[in-house]
Amino acid sequence: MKLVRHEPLGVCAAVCPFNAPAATFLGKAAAALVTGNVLIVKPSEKTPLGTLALAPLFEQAGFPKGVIQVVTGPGETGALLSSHMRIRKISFTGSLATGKKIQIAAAESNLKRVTLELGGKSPAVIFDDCNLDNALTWTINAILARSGQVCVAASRLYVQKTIADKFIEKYVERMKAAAADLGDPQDMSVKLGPLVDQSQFERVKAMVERGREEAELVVGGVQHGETGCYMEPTVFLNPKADAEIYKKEIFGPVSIIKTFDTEEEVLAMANDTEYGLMSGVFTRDITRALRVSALLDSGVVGVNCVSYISVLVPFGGRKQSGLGREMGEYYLRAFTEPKTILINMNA
Amino acid sequence: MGENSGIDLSPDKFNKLYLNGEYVAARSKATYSLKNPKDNSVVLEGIPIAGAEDIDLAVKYAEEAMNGPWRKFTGMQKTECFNRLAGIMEEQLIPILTLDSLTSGNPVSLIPTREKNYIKNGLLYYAGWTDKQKGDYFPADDGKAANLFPKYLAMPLRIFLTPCEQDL
Repeated sequence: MKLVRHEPLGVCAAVCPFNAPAATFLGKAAAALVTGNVLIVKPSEKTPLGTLALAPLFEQAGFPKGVIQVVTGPGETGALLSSHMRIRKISFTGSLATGKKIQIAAAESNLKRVTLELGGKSPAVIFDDCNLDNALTWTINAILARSGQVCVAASRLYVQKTIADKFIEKYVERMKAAAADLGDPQDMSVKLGPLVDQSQFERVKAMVERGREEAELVVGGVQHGETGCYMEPTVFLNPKADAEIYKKEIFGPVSIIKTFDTEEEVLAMANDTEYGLMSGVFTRDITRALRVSALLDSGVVGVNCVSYISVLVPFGGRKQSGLGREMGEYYLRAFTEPKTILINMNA
Repeated sequence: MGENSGIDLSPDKFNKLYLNGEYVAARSKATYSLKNPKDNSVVLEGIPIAGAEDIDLAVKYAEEAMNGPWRKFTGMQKTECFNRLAGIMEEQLIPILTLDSLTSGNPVSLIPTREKNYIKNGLLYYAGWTDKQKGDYFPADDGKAANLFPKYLAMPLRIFLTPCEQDL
């Protein structure tokens, strides 16, 4: 007879991003704790405060002390976690470059288990039979939520030529209008905040500046106001095939639009990327939606929606967008390993 | 910050690590500061850059916790903890997310309310998983492997058994 048990890994570490510090911390903590592990959390050095405030609430809820701990610091602290010989698992959400360093350090130390939820350059494919308002609303929210600092942000838009003029006009109009929503993030009436810090702002600004040479800037492209890390919602059209803004994750309110004629053509363009986190397909044709969603090379595909995560179902990236899955039952497998018990029934 | 919060959320309380159930000063003396991206004003100085000694200590406490009462928690006890945590989030998460907004720049108008529900619902969802990780069972009656095995017991198994026959 054989039994297979799902057993906890033991001491796990979580390294969380700045864009959703509390949600990522509590998600990783839930999956780690429900499976019986303990967790050391390092929030992004940019956003440690909420995580530090949350930690004692676990004991208030009845979890024993030491089950959740928080350490602060930048990448050098993360490196100590990923190379530690007695940490058995590291769960990281953040940039591709850091994700690779974590996996290398994990491999070179004790082969600790690694899950990586990294970046994206997520395409939204908009066919001419879609509900145009629905497609506009989703794609606009998808690049403006958290000022575009979202791993699943729909930053590449492919619009079928038959509706391109109409869609692009409305999309650009809304992106232009959104600049007026930028303001003080601590003001309850403000909808759109700054980028997270000066270094991210400089990075995005420099990419956009270089993008002017490689694509047609339609709106935005500049700092908003004179103080703070505010970037205006920005749209580029028709980038060169290898343009940096078209190939690399920008992590700001910047989208790139291309047009297409056929399904085959758009699938080739949408999948020509090293990323594979999220895609969206907008159409009212159910068979096309299912066909295209099967062919889009990403961990998650939205049909008539995009840049959306459900806790019930696996979430994660193909190719260089990550390793492993979070959410749903799959999240539990990221914090357990099977143990097989072989029972000799003749003894 | 927030009338129901019941906890002190002034940022200057958080220039510490949280180890083994307590806010403690870091062994490492290296620190950095946090700024508000809306105007680059300083929110808090002296945030510790945890060093090797701090991480070793955290791992030591984590191992003790792993081998402590936590190991014996039943599924139902864990579910109760998760449900209580979700209740606490309902009360306290918005002021905490508002605190994070000071350095993330995420607008308080949208993020706290949206994130609060998302986070709370996630905790309630996982609360139900504590006693449902059933694993697998395979019966004893599974064909030739049981007969085969004693015969080849003394031989190097990998050489003689096909992948299928390696199943016990």
